[in-house]
Amino acid sequence: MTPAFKKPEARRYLIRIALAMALYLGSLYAAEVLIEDGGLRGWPAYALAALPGLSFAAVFWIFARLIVEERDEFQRLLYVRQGMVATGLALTAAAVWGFLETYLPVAHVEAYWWPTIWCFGLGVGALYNRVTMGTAGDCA
Amino acid sequence: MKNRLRVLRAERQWSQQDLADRLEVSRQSVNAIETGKYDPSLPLAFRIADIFGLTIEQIFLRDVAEQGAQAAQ
Repeated sequence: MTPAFKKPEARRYLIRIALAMALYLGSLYAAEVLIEDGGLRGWPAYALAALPGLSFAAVFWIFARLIVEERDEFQRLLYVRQGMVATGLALTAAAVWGFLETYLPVAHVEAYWWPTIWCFGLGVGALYNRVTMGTAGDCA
Repeated sequence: MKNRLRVLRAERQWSQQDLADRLEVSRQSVNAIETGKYDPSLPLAFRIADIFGLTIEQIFLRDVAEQGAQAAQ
């Protein structure tokens, strides 16, 4: 079988992730310049402020497409396990910190960190696969 | 589930990569199946059987406990 980076589904995944990251960084920069510095108000400001967050929707869609398009069923299993570890970690961290904020004087964590933690969780999931299944998968 | 994949591959002097290429899967997949970490789907099990010219039952072996349970039924 072809190396991971030459597989069309893995290549599409990397291109899509690069585009999503470009959208994220571009919209973040635009929000800083136009809302923070330029004083943009009204619905355009809301739309622009939502864009960096919506680029995370692209990341989830891209990961789902990777699972759907992957032809190697074992690799597909690894991706699903990776996603489950990431989801478990991110949602647990969000829930625990939410209760800590409710009952104790801890620092507030902005909500956009939870999907960011999900992305880091994919790395933890790859490590978990490596330890338990002997391989981290093609797109780890 | 146990299997005879490693033995069958060795008889033909195929590497894991050789078998993976024939099956159009990754070498990691072959390794995971051989070591019993992953049980293949039925379509993949049939492809493996076809490549070796054997039946699925000649390659994949039921666990002893599972066989015992079925015999008791």
